[in-house]
Amino acid sequence: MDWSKVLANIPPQAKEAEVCTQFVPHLLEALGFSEKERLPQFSTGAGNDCVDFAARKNTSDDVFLFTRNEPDLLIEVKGRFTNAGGAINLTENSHQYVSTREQLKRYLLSPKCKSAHWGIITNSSHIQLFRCHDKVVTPATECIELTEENITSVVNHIKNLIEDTPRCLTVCVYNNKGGVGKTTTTINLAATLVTQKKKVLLVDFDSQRDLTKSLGLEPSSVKLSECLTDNSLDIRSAIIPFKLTQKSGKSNKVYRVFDVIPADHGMEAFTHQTQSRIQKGAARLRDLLKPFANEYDYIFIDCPTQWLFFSKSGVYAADAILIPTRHNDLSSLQNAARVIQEFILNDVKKIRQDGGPIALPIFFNGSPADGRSIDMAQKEIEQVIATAKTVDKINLVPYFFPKIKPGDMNKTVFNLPDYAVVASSAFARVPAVYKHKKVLEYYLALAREYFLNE
Amino acid sequence: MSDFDNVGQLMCLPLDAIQPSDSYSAPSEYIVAAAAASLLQTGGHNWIPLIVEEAGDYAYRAITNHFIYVVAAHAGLEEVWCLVIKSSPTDIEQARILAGEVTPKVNLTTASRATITSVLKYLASQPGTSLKSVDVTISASKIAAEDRSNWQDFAPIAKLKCGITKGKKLDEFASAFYLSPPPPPPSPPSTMSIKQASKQEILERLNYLVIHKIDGFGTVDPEKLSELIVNADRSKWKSLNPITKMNCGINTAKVKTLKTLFTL
Repeated sequence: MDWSKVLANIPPQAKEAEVCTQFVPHLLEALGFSEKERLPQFSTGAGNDCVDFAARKNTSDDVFLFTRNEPDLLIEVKGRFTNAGGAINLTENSHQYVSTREQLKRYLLSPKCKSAHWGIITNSSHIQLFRCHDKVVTPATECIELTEENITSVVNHIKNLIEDTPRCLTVCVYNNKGGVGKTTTTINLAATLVTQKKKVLLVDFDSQRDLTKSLGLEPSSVKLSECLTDNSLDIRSAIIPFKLTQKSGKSNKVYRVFDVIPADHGMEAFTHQTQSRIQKGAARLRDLLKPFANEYDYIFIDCPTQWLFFSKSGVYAADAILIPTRHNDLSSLQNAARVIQEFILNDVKKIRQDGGPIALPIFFNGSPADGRSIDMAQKEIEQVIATAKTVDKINLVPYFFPKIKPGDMNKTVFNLPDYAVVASSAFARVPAVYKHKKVLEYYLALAREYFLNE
Repeated sequence: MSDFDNVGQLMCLPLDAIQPSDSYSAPSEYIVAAAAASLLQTGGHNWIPLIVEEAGDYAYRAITNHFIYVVAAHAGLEEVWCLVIKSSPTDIEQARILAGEVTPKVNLTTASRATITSVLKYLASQPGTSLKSVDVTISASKIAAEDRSNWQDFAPIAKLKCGITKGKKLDEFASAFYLSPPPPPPSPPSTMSIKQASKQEILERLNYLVIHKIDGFGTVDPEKLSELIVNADRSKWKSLNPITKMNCGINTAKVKTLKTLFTL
């Protein structure tokens, strides 16, 4: 592909229609989609919505151009200039970038696009690839400015990514404030996803070993702390299955619920000497979990509070961060803002340079549906958002009030009720969702809110 | 440097993850053996680190303190304590300089007389030097007195009769210095008739010669000279020689330079 020729043929003030004809066909070609594997103006099944391009590889008995179903890749195209002549700036976090990204997300979650794993936004000056895993859309690259010099490597990189779709989404459950129910959330959310036929791995990356202990597990002969320092060990050997026994008539049946990489005593005894043997520091855990990319649907990492080695590792290894808060613990709300602003956006995201990780909107863990305390929490959130906007010029609204839309100031925060019931179940070494139907329903709602695209 | 890499940190790394130098040779077998014995006697923890850079994923390259690698390997150690440094040519150069492996170079374009003297003294004291016969004080004085700001190479030194002649001596001198001449001047303004040029046009051309110090024009006052030229009766000029009589630092050699920008 002679990209310099392609770029030279695009008018500097190209409108969307010109980008669609002069750039996108070449891009799709370079990404490995033949003419029979792509469709313009693909109807998403949500009202009259049409995404500019959809593509999928043909199989022996299915030509995408003819069957027009189950796209794998969507492309939302913008011009370099609007039809009215205004410049379109797709630089990350510009107003036009945000609205285009949200448009693509909407398409990716539409009824006829549920099969799509990938989405691209581009105006031929900028390009960004997103990955869609169930309901979670995460950036797979940064928003990259295309030049004659970098376009070949950028397109090749995107091609390599979409040709190797990982099965797994890695989620770190984290808040810098303790007592928000991170471990309980991790266990029950995992157990709930298992009921939805998802294969799940839990990583207890907290030296206090709460998750490991509450499930009554012990580490295997190969320990996580050893895998951090010894590159020759196989992390798979550190996995312990969490099993439950169910009475079936007169006999007992043993079910493998999910897999766990338990925390071990070596993590408690973390010293400077140990850290000096962890190559890549807090980036090591991400590498350790790479072999599981195609073995699980979800990996959940349970992290301690405090922005130190363990939590930094968990956040760095994740595609998305789930942040539990307590409505009556204002500090947990302030700390959630800190996690999003300082730790995710200003630290890890800048170092990773692959667009990730993202913060999912916060939720209240164990709160009443409404009442005075919820009003107070809402006011505190408004204060947190206002401070971030004036002091740091960051818009935290989507992270705290995700349901707010233009013209609809819906300030509902997702609420997971009955925290007390769930917490008490920890002593029984059985996830509460398997003991109380009501609790399972609550957690299913949480899973649907954040993860499941049904 | 961040918590997500090892740059700037003292790390205990597997020896087989480190690519050793391909040019270093240890001083002698007995020194290596004795150092290895000393290292083993103290538990195998090397207190002076090997300096490495990250050469890839979980792969490192030795940058300096190569002796430590050789000793650790001789001692049969599987791990060695290393300091991981940034992988940029300037950072690597700095580490090698600070380890004493490489002699730092001095900028001769801006070096003072004292610095030049100091470098020459050091060079002249090295075993097997060809600069032994050079009078350091005289040489340094002659070099320091020169305007070195536009030197593109070290050739002018051989013409100073300072004892540093072209060949081995100059090469040895050059091994301790570098030059940072200003970038070549931009292309000159177009040539134009001196009789028709306005004061602004004359000033623009003179400024070009003065700012870039071309052929000694650095000492000429462009404002004054352009004023004198504009006020002279230029219509009868048959050459640019009348400018030499304006008593403003223009001689026949400089007229030659003026001819590159002015015609009659």
